[in-house]
Amino acid sequence: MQHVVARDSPGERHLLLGNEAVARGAIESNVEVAAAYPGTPSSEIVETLAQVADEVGMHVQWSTNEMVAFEVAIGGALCGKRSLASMKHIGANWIMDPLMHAIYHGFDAGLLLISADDPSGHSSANEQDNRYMAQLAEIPAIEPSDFQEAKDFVGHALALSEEVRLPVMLRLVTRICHSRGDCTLGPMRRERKPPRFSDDYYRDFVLGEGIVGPKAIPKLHRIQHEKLAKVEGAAARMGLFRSELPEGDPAGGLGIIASSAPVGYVLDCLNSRGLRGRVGFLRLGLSVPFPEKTVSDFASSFERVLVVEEGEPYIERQLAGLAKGSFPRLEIYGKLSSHLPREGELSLSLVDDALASLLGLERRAVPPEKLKLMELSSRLLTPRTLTMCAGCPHRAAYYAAKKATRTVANAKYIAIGDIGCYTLGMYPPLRFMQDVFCMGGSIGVANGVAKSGITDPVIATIGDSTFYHAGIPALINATFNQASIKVMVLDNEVTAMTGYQPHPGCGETATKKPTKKVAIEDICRACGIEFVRIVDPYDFGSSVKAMEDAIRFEGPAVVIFRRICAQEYLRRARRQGIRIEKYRVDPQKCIGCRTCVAAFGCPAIGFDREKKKAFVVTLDCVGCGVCTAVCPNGAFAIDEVREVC
Amino acid sequence: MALNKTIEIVISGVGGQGNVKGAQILGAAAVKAGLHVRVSDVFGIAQRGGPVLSHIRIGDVNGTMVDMHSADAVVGLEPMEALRAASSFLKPGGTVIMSTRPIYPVEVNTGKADYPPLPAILDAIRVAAGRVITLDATEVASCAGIPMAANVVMLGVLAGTGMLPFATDYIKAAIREMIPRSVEENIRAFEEGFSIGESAPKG
Repeated sequence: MQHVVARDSPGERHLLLGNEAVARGAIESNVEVAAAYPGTPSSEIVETLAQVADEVGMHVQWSTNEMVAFEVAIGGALCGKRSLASMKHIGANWIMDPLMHAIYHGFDAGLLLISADDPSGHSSANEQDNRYMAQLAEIPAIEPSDFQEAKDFVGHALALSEEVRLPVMLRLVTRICHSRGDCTLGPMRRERKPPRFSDDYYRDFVLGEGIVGPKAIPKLHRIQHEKLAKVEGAAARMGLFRSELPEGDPAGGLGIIASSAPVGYVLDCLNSRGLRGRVGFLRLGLSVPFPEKTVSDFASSFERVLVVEEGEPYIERQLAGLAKGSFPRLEIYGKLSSHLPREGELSLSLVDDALASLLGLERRAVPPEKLKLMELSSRLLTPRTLTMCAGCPHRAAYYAAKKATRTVANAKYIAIGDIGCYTLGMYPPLRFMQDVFCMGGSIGVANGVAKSGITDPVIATIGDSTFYHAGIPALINATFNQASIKVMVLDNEVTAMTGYQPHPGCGETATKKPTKKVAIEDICRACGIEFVRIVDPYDFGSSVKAMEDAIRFEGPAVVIFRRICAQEYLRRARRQGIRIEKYRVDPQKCIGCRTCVAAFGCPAIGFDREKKKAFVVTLDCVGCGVCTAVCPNGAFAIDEVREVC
Repeated sequence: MALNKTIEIVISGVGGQGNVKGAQILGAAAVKAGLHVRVSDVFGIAQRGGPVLSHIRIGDVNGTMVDMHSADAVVGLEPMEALRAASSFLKPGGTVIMSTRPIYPVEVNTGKADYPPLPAILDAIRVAAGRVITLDATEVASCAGIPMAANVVMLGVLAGTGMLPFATDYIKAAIREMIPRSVEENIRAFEEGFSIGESAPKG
């Protein structure tokens, strides 16, 4: 069935995921080149575009990393095609170099950078607010506040990019990306223009205007500032600012300024308390460069302003700076005044509490029966902690590696992890890695640990997609500087954590076209690694042996643990009707030592405390059979072979 | 399009139970009915086995998340997750629909923690709920020929209570559009759930 985002049926209303709405916006506004590296909460933008790429005539790709994705988009814009690159907020850290080069340039076609920020870090290692990245790069940042805007603002952002000849950031947040709402489709303006590589920038502009030599850069910088000065006017014409002024005196002299998802919280609070139209409300659809005129015009009507924004108090600080000169008596409230929390994402109740406190209204109390229920629940509930799935090949690889460190290194080692499902190897019961940093950080940091005088084996654990993304330069560095690190590449043949996207080792592109596989082992050898071993992590004996040999080897070594992600395998098995083996515990042989649950920790294995015997949760067992190698008493055996349900 | 009455629902369960799909079907049905909708899913980074919450807001709504103690209904696909969600989101006097089949967390399977007894879960929920409907949704779905469709059964029960501000046919239409396989079995699962909801004691 055709995906909704490709329907040429303007006026239809559909329930769209925020990321799907953004994808639809890209289709409606004739984006011709779209590239990304997957990262939660941004992945579904390009995933959706990839599904309809051929139908709508768009080049869509998963790139090796975010930097390459943004460079691909630059290349598209340079050839006159509207182009976008999308990524999660932390992924955008990778693009700073190309971005800071693109800003003085100017393209004939719109260039859109989509940053999906993750306040509260639901799926991320930090809460960075990429409006500050836009501010650093001095490019406009547009912030949609709901699903209609998520679609519509893509078109505005591209038009703005072309009007002022600057890259534009579309700054999203998790609650836009990963929520759904009704959205009315607009007309699709697909038009395939012949590509035209533009060399105007150097031919006419840099050379023609004589912008060469030491004075060139300040002059280019000044031109960028002239472009930025036009942004607010253009944004106002596009309707990116919406101001509601109260009739008569505002309640409590209060005006509210909000952007992004919190606009919805403010509207709900105002509606439920009957305050709509009694206080002022300004919605900023563009926050960088700070729209000083719009905000000044609004703020001049109020004695007090509450700023409600997701992330850092960016608008609040800008407003404070503006007020200092223009309205020194304006009282400003928000995150800096502690009316809203400085960390974590906002919610309706947090906004409601802030409003209540500013207007002297009663705060909503927790109903007494709910207090009782919460108290009872806190005694009854047990957590469901994060763990790798049943049959996950990463668990088997870590368990084998841990055994190898015991046999050849007295269990003394230092292991640095990386970003992916396999990061969970840090948690109990495996506790394999002692630390984790950024994409590719495992190998890079291990290089430094190995050179710091540590004599224990230094291990880096990295996934397949992450290896292509960021592991390679650090691996070359290990050869270059002879750091004797032991790299475990946990290759589950897919970018699993973000939703099973293909990577350069899969032999298939984003749009399911066959392509050449880039083999990790070939890369390792080309990087000068003399010890490269490939093992199946379900083959426990060979896995232990490979790690033992790698640790004993003098010099950098790589062991590739290759086995498809258990979830992806189950999905394929379900589709193809493949039957899988289910294991069971022989109670005669189980002595209740708990090795399987306490040290290995497969969620498909349970332990009966009364009988003091392990058991297999048959429904969850995927038939990897690693338990047979883990159990010291040979208590696990195949029970039956059946279809996946 | 604006509707004065809003309804807020939280569906809770464990990764793999079809929470997100259920919420999506409900949201799509409401859009078909011409209503304004917000749906939001909250889950951790693990692929399976973690708690999953879906927030559905229908009517004159803007924000995507149901506020604390504001849900008219909590639909729990699993008992402990029903309690977890009711504790945070149920409006006093609201409705809880709970499937009684537990999915044990790793902590319970490995003997480090106890799964709370079902009567204790229900007693706690009843402290704040006005109405509690319990069923083994997987069992009902199995009878309909599709054990995986416990989520669809639960949507049926919710619709059967008459709480939803739109016609049941919109949900069936959404199921037909959004479920790729075994459509008729899913429709049957929905209808089985509907009659349970319809005949459940009020309050």
